[in-house]
Amino acid sequence: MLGKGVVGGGGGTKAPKPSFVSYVRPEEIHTNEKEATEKEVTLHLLPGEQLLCEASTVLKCVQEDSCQRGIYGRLVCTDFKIAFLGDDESALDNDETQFKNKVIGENDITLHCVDQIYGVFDEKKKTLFGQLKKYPEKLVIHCKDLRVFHFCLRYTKEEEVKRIVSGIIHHTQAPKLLKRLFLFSYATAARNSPATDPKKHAVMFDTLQDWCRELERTKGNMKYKAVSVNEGYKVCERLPAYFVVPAALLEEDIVFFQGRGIPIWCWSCHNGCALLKMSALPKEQDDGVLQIQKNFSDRIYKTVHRPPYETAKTEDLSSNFLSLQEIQMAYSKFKQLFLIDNSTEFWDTDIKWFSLLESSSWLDIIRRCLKKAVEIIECLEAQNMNVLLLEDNASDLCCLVSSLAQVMMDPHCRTIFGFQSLVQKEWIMGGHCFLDRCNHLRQSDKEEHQRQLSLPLTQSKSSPKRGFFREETDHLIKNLLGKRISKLINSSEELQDGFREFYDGWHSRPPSYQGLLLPRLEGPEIKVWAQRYLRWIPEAQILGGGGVATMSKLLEMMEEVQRLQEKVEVRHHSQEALQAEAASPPRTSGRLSSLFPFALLQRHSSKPVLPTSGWKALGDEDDLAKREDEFVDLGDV
Amino acid sequence: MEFAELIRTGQAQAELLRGPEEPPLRGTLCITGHHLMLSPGPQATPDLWLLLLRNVDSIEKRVAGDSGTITLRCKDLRVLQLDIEGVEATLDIARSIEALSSLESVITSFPFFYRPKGLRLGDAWHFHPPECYYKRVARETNAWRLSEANEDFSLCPSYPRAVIVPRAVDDSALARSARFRQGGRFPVLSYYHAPSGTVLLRAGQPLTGPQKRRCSEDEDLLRAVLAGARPGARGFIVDTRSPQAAKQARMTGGGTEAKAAYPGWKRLHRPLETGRPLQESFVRLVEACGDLEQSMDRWLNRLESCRWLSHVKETLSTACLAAQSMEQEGACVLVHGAEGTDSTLLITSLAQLILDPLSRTMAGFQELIEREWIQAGHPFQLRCAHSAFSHARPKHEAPTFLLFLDCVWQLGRQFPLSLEFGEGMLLALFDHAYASPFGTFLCNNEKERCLCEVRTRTHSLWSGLSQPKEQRKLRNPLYVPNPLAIWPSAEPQSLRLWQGDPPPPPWRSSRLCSASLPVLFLLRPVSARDPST
Repeated sequence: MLGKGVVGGGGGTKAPKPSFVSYVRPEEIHTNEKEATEKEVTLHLLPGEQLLCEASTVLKCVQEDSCQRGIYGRLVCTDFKIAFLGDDESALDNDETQFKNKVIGENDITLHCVDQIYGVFDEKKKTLFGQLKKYPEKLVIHCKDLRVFHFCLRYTKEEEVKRIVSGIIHHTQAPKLLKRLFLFSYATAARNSPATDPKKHAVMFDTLQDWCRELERTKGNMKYKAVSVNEGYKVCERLPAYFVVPAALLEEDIVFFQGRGIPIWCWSCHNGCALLKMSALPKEQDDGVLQIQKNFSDRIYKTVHRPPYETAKTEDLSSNFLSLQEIQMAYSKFKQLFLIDNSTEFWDTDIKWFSLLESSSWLDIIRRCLKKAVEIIECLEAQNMNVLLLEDNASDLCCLVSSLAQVMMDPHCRTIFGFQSLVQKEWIMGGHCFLDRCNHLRQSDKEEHQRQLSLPLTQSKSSPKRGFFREETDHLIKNLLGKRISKLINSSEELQDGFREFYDGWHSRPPSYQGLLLPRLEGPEIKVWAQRYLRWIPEAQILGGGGVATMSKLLEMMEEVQRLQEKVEVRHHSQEALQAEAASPPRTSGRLSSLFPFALLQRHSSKPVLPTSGWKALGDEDDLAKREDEFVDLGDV
Repeated sequence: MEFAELIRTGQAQAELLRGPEEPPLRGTLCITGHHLMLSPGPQATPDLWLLLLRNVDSIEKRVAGDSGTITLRCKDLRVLQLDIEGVEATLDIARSIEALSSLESVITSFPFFYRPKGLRLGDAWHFHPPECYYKRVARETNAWRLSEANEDFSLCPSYPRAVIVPRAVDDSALARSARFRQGGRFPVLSYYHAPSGTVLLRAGQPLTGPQKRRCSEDEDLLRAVLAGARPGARGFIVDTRSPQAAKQARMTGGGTEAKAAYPGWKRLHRPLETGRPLQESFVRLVEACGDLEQSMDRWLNRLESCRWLSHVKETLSTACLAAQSMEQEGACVLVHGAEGTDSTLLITSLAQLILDPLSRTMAGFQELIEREWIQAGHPFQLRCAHSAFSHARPKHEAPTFLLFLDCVWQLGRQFPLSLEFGEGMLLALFDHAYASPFGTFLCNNEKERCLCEVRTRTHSLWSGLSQPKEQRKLRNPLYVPNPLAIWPSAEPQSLRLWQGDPPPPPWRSSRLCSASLPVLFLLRPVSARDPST
């Protein structure tokens, strides 16, 4: 918005908004053309990856401000990715190569990552799907990771345009067989993966032992048992081969409704209370069946409400909490705020940013998820009750809430491997339908509203979670937690008093970082996860600043401490002063941007992030000043 | 005048409420001429100096049965609640606080009585920024000189005695230029940017009036600026008003530089709000923060509608523009609005922080405040008379200085390693600007400070802050000198609400009201736990 003469009251200076279409003129781009023909970038294929179609002289547009520039190159589509091969890959700094993705390059879009494809016809943007009668002059690809690519096809041969456009549309949109997903051909082609040390590996929870160990770790093995009744998925395909149930539960009960209606163990608290989940019994009309269901439920209820089991509080996530549609809708509104076609559009949202953010209600959903987890923790910790999460399939919100609660309660889940194990346990083994929720197979539109559910789900969980995780490891958590005396959150609710007491009480005590950690739930505390959502937006990046600067400084200091410790140890052992050993050179954090390691595309090392560039833009203002003076002159006459 | 006349009751039994986790503190409440104290009795901790009475922004009293409650909302945004025994005592205490806190006389204010141990009067008043800063400029360029034309404040009452002006312009020309500028604020040097050899100037608006008057000395002065930079240099005039507002100002005798009269200079308009809209925005922000329980769901909408962050954004981006013009375009920049004492100073001081590594050091920042705010004539007494809780209609109040501190905080947040001072410094400055035992922020300009003998009769905040135990709270432990310009992102996505330093952790809350009036946090209502709700 800078330098645009915008701002309320500014007189008619508002820069005309460039229309969507790119009108790159050949004379603006021919400088690059030569280079492009000289530097042919080779396509890097993974084992098992196949080139499907390609087009040359495609112009990848860099859209900054209203000036439109681009780079010529080859656009290719393989069975794994869409890739643009230009001479864009300028020399990277050391720090940047360090974090360079070896599988997916800067200009690669994996087929999975494609969210929407638009074509531009006569300056109009239309969604592309199915068979095309007419081919667009420009291809706009919105990615699920919020990148936006513009490929201008005006200078491409017609034949090639047809081939590449229909190829991309086909391979990103047509329904797919699971077996045809690229990772299978990759796995076949690249068999010799290095063996990993089992100790430095997340727990996979695919053996009975894994579950037994988890039971032991959380001291849940007195009251709960791991069962193998579902070995070979005889009982149910939704459930993992091995899982944990109350020890008093009969195996035949597990089988009775194919694993439905029985409590399945997630995690045990230090006081013996457990977090359980249960998928609902199928909905039936028939009275007879209903009676059977009722008897079954009563029997199960009696089993798990008798000592040694604590009384259980049932938390019905299907009816009393967020709906999946709500989450999906919020996310699709929310992500639009970050899928920016051009900078002008981005500046235009400036004034309304907060209300747009609010109207997406995404942050509110995050808050409600966190709050639900805190409520559950209050039951487990303060009321000494078991909590039974109930959901139709126990594989969406159950995964979300239970993993959030565990991150807050269990310090093990805040370590790198503990966190990976948690995701494996609650999400992968917990049967979250990643394939459907992310619609990896591009199933029909019937499920449109169900699409991509897991994306928001994982994000809603991982944004706060990631926060926790990193802060824990960096001992930064002090900065976020445990300081502000709170005001409370929601009005009239039954558990309000107990909950408030619990929440306030925790926040008024010094936190133990090896124990329970509760997040702040007040509105202002829930913030947009910048590193996730703003990473591709150059306007939002701070060169040489941001949290990244603090982080690299801390890392530097930690390394120095380590080096000194090692030195001390060596001296201790050998009593000899070390000869001036070549101290490892200090890391040069250089001038990393706040979005590091993302947004490598926008590398303007010293250019200030001011859209106004020099005399040209300022010249417009000058005209204004002149006009105004003239106007006054006329008025005086 | 005797303070005793205003004190109806010197003492009462009272309880200070300290939030739900802490028991209330009982004791004898005492009012002195400048302070409110709570003495918990011989066996307990030493007396608590609750606050400087000047810090009270609004007072609310309620009586029920035979006791009363007083809620004090402070200018530093603290909220204190006291339960007092006796209806009469409550009313008397409240009236006394009201009377004492609204005293306007400068020379009876607390800084004139404050005599802390370990500090000597006159220490740290040795910052003489114009002279001191001139030495720095003179080392780099020969185009400027130190002028004492304003020795007796006759040219411009809001400028210091000495100012830095183009060497080519003599004092008589300055006098004529001063007559052509509002408040006598002729263009003076604010910052010399050595890497590009360009300068930043500030002034008041030219008094062109409806007749479009011109002043050749003023024109010569600006021409000399460009000539001094380098042959063919160009300049920008950043007018902090909209073109319409600038044009309208002609009707009341003001105006802006006509293009034809100032060759080589281009005018840019960047409207920044000052005065009442800014004050109201601040009031609404504090309201929204104190009202979290109700507004939880609509928080972002409320945040947006109070417009505070858009003021931050506009200010930062205008400062960036000025800085960019100097560093990238190699142009000189003159900043003015109408009076040249509010948004003008915001822009010139922020542009320096962006460009000048020295101003980001502890000493450099203090010097910047002294030079660009205090000596540059920001009317602190008028602007900071009331804060966000006062019921009085704002007349001259405006949180311009707070807006500056907020922008600096944003810079510090975006560049966590590049400022030598931390948030503690910014909070201390905020607190002291509104109510302080030190004389630094007293009065509206150097002339008034001279009349009141502030320098000889009060202590300087800078010597207060330079004590080792204070320094620890003010420094940024992560500081690494950064020789480059720091370009912030001024997009709303990159700006944050300055929620302020966390309060001392409640489990160590004996510090809550310790004797030294600790630096508290800015938007404390989040945690302020206004006990009345």
